[in-house]
Parts: sequence; C-alpha cells; structure tokens
Amino acid sequence: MVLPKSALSVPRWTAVSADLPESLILCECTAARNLSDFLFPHCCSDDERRAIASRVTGVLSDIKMISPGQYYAWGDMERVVQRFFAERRLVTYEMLAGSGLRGVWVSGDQSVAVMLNALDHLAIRALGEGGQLKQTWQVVNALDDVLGKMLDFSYHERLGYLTSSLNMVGSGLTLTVLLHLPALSMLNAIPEAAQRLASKRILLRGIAPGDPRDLSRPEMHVAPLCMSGWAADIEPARRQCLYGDLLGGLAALPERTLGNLFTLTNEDTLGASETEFVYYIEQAVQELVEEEEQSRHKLVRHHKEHLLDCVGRALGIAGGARLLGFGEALQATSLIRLAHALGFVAGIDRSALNMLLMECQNAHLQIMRGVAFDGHALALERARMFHSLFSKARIN
Amino acid sequence: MICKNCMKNIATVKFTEVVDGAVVQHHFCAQCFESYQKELQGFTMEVPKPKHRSRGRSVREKQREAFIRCESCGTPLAKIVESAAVGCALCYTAFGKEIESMLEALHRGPMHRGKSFSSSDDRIRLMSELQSKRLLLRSMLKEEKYEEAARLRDEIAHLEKQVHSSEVHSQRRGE
Repeated sequence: MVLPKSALSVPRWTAVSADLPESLILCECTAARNLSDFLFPHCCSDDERRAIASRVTGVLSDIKMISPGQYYAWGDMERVVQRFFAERRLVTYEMLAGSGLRGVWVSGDQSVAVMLNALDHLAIRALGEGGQLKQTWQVVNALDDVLGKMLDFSYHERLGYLTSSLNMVGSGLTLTVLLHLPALSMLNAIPEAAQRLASKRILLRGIAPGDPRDLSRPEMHVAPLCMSGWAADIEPARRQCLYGDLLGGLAALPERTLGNLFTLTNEDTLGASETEFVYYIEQAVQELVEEEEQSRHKLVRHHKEHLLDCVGRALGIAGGARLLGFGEALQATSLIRLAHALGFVAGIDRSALNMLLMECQNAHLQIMRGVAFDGHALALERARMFHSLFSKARIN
Repeated sequence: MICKNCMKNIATVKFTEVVDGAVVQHHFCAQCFESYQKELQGFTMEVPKPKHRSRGRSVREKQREAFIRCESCGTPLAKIVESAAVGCALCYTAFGKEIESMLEALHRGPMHRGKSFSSSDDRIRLMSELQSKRLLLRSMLKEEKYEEAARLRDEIAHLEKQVHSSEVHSQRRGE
C-alpha cells in the first residue's frame, strides 16, 4: 500500500506555541463509544464489523466540522504502515495488536482519528499541543455530539457510555499528556510525584520501547566491536519505536522510562464528569511543570558544570555518532531539549525536536528514508539524521 | 558456535523467531540471555483488574461464575471477572450486581456524572429490534436453518435501511 502524501505531512500538534513550557509535548484525548445494536467488537463477526465500519465511515464523510479525511482498512495496510500510524499516535496499541476486520479514519491534518472495531466500535481521538488539553477535549466532544445525533450509542442511565472494558465505562474518556521531565528525573523526584498523583487517581507513568507481544521472542542488542562503554547500544529493530495504549499495559515504571518522557493519564472514567477529569489532569500537569521549572533552576544553580558536561556529550553523540541506538537517541534529544530551553544551545527549532521524536522510530525511518527493518541499518540512518540536525549545534 | 552477542562464550541458547515475516535465528550464551531477560523486567502487558473479587469468593460462587453466561453474547461471568471486559451492552444488565461491585473497585464513583446521551423512542425500538434479529440470525446459522437465516437477513437489511434514513433525517435536522 502506498501512503498518500497527506499521511506523510507534518502533524498539526508538532507546531509549538512560543509561550508553551518546553516540558509539554503532546495531548491525546480519546472517547470510546459503541453502537447500541451490535455486540462489542471482540464478539462480532467480520460481517458485523464491516457493517459497523460502513455505517460510521458513511457518517464521518458527511461531517464538515473536521478537515476531510480518509478511511484506512487495517487489513489492506502493510505491517510497516500500521506501525507508522501507531508511531504517529493516530492509533493505539490495541488497534495494532487486535484481530479481525478493523480500520482507522484520519483527518487531513492528522489532528483527529477515529479507530473502528479495536477495543470498542469507535474510539474518537484528537491530538493537540501539550498545553491544549481542554481544546483537544472540545474537539472530541464536538465530534461526539455530531456523531451522537446520527448514530445510536450504547448508553446506561446510571453507568453512562457502555464500553467493552470495565476500565473505561462511564465517560469512556482517556486523557493523556506526554511530558518531558529531565530535571525532576535527574533529581530523583519522579517516584514521589507519581505516588502523590496516584492518590488523586492520576497515573504518572514511564514509557517503554517496542511491541510487548515480541518480548516472548528474545533477541539480543546489536553489539558493535568496540571499546566497552563507548560502543553504540543498538536495540533490536522491533524495539526502536514507542506506542501508546488505552488500557495502560504498555507503561513502564517511571524510573525506567526512556528519554525522560512520561505520560500523565486519568486512572478511571466513572464517577466524575468529563470537565472534572480534564480539570484534574490540567491541575496535575501544571503542578508537574512548575516543579520541573524549579528543578531546572536548581540544576543550573548547583550543578551547572555537570549539566553542561552532559549536554556537551549529548551534542557530541547526536552530531558525531555514526551508529545511534533508539534509547541513546532519545536520551541525547532529551538533554538537547533541556539545554535549548535553558538557553545553552541556540539554533534548534522546538517543533523539529517534536517531529524528531517520531521520525527516529523504525517505521518512520523505513517509510520516509527507505531503510530496511534491521537494527543496525536503522541505527546508521538515525545517526545520519541526527548528524544533519545537530552537527553545527554548539553550547553558547 | 560462538555467542553472537559477546563473541567469546559458546552459544548454548538458540532462538528462532519471525520478524516481519522473515525467519531469524539467534545463538547466544547463558549469561547474555540472562542479562537480556533482566532488561525486560518492569515491562508488562498487564491491564489493571479489580482486586477485591478474588477475596472471600466461595467455591460455589466460582462454580456459578463459570457456568452462568450472558444470554445475548454468551460471555461467561467467570471470563468477565477474570478479564474485566464484557461482550455486549446487555452483559451490564445480565450481571448487574457483579459488574457494579467490580466497577466500585475500579472507579472513583458508582454513577456516571458526565455528558448524557439520548435517542428517540423510535430509534431505540429500531435498534433493539435490529440487535435481537442479529442474535437470532447467529443462532439460525449455528443450527444450519438457512431458509430462516435468509429471511432474517432480508429483514435486517430492511431495518438497516430504516436506520439509515433516520440518520439522514437527524443529520438534516442537525444542519
């Protein structure tokens, strides 16, 4: 399957507003809905799934409030294209790992996606800049309103929207904010923050690379012959990517995360209104961003030389390495992002750094740069990409 | 054969796997395999499940859960308790008590307080008729009653047309 040009275009959320704190990267808002006259997807036959898809896509094509989009039938897509959509956060891991006839409708600007027949009949998903959770929810809400006028959703007077997973019943809403918190990580303040937020039913979690289905088939890292401690750490190809999911199975412990990236998500969906859930997450985000800012100032005040040393090493690896593993790349990007935000490094575009988070993953490298699905080849191409971006960056 | 990772020890572990359609074989020593396994710790695919259900359930209760099924989708209660996932909207009514006690453990409150959804009475009637006809069709096909199944299929197609025309109507009303 050849991807249309629109699918390869830069997603809208990567653009960054000037006043947005650097720690905020991306907001994801997903509402799960089911049609009232069908069993839930995992109990549906392919004919029933086809009928659901045709009913929903028929309605979506008539909606004028979102930029015109395209429906991609999952079975018609090559595996690499499916992974590409997951790396772009347009679909969740449940879609990637699911079975049976399913698909995704994606708006032209890639800010809205509707997953069909994954966990639920519909999962209405909007992506937005890190600081725009409320606006992102409003997009989902408006689309849900329009769809609700034309489709009949499974709804219970007391339990709200009925979903296939008991974890999502009620509002059916999953709010996720992707955060970059290097200073809190360096000062070991993440576990305490995670514990504090857990008491408010908000989950601060780390991210883990790759597809967990593959972990039952161990494969060693590629180990180039080199002095120990200086060799590139190259993961197997299938672990050079990051996916998101709705049920939380992909999460890593916060202290084991990659590239100082964390997700903040609501733990439950029943017992509060959507507005309350958005408010709680926004408050938690604000708290964390303030703590991160304070920690950054603390780092600059008390550990400036160590920090600059780390940044210098990161720039050296990003600009000079000829083989670059995925974890290394995320770690280097994290330090460069931090240095750029603190004004130590100039001439780097923040939206390009956001885009880099996606472009250094395996399906993006395969599709956009024609690399083979091989750990070594991906590391080689990733190093070339980083070299062209960072070889001229210097510490001020 | 030498371990492909450390290039020193003799490889004692062999793995065959399929990566994107291609068969790949790996040979490595016990130490390299162990270090790889350690690296995977802290990475699970477990989904949060209600914990309280396993407490104080009698053997009789467990046996009942294994046998009792949703009449609409056939999902056994035991599976719902185990996976925290239901097969259809009617499971919520069929296992009301059990599901609500599970929801209590998973969520901050027992009642939905967010946006509500309403549908017209005609559409609700149409939808429930469609669902019951689909369920009937399934059982007819299972029992190999093809004539009856064909008749039901026609009726479902007719009802779907009615649903579609009511969708178009609602859309016009929305505009």
